[in-house]
Amino acid sequence: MADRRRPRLLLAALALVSLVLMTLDFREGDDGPLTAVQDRAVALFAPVQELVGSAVAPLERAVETVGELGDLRERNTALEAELEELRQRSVSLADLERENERLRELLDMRDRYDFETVAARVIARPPGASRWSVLVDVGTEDGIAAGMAVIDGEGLVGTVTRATDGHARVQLAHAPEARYAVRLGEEGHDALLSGGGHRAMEVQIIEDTQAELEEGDRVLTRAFQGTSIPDGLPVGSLAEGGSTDRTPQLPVDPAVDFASLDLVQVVVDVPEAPTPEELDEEAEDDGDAAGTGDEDDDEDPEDAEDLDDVATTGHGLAGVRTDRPSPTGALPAP
Amino acid sequence: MILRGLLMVVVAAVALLADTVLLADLTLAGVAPSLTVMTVVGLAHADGPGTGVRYGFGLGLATDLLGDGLLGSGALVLLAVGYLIGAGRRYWTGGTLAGQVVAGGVGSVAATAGHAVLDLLVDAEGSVGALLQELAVGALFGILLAPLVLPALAWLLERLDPRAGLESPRRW
Repeated sequence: MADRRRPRLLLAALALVSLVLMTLDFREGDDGPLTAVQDRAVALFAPVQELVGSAVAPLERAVETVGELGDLRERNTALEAELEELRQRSVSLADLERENERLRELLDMRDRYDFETVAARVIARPPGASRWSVLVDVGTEDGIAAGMAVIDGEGLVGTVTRATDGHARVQLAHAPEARYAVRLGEEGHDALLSGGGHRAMEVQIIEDTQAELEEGDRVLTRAFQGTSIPDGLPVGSLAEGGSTDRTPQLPVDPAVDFASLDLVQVVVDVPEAPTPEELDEEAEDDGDAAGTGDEDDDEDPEDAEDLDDVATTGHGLAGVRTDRPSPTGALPAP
Repeated sequence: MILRGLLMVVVAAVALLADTVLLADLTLAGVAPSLTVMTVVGLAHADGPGTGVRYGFGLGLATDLLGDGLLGSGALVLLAVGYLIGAGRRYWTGGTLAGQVVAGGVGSVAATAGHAVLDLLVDAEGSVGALLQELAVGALFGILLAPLVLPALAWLLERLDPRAGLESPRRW
């Protein structure tokens, strides 16, 4: 009987310890001694994870290669076709670059998106049930701090939540707790993006105005003073269209493939978000420009797509495409 | 005793590394297989609820320290899984393949459900459909991993202490 009761007593005692720890951790938030212990544990274990990750990387690649053998012939054909297309495109690359430069000057967006980034490699995901964050191999020694945005070549990856000397924890943008201010579509409607977790990401329209949104409309970050999220980063596109008054919540297809993150960039220096007054002035200026620059306006959408192509095929680097202007060209009036 | 302790530390470290570095990207419907849960199931199934509770608590605490959830939540879930599997092992067919599969499935479902309940308590959003999908995929991973992990852990324990657990289901 005593042998049977011992595990139950042990269960009760350790469950009590767990509940006490949970309560303490919940109460102290992000700046208490328990968080410091967690940070130290991550700092101790992360190098081992990094070592194991780099040691098994060739094996992973070999397994992936074997798994992909069936697709290789098909991909080879597709790559040959793409090569031919690129050869043709390279002829007009110089023209595109000049056009790119001209558009940047016209839109005057360079300064707004000229932020500094630090490259980072994703080394591990957290153990246990939570799969909504990753550990990257840069930390406070590299200038990383909590709240900084993390991006890759496709768009917003997430936000740094904790940073130790050499590592940082990044909460992914599709985490259930993640919330971002965003703007939608050509008109730039204000909305709040929720991560959703296992469900699709969702945007909630927070404007009173009635508007029609279409499937595929872009979802871009909106900068606010006091935050470190740059303005105009692609977050995804609307998976469904709808009217803002009838369907205030709409699902979003993320721009980033969260399942295959490898190299990312942490935005360490973001220009200050424009004040509401500056936004008003910009909106007025845009109105004036629309009245006098019809020819340019006609060219912009296609040229903006060309910008995407150049950034992707010409560099293919994470972060390069993120300092481009939004398709709308400027922030709408608040 | 010291050797058993060392074995458990090594098993826990290997499971944590495998979960965070190797298995994290092998997701099915957003759910990754969990070797940490499976080692708790394996040790509890082979050695009883006492070992299951101790190992589950220790490993759960380690996952909390390395993760971004509430400290103690993983420990609570895994010690409960350890007790459930250790105490319940007499109700299924011991060391047979069916017994391992049942233990793996039950352990994975219990761990997923435990985390889901704690997530609800700390105000994380979720839907019933997503939870059911997570439970189903977790059970599938548990069923697939159990026949590999459980015999290996039982074999290791038996090498260290051949006299212990004569009535336990680790003799397949």
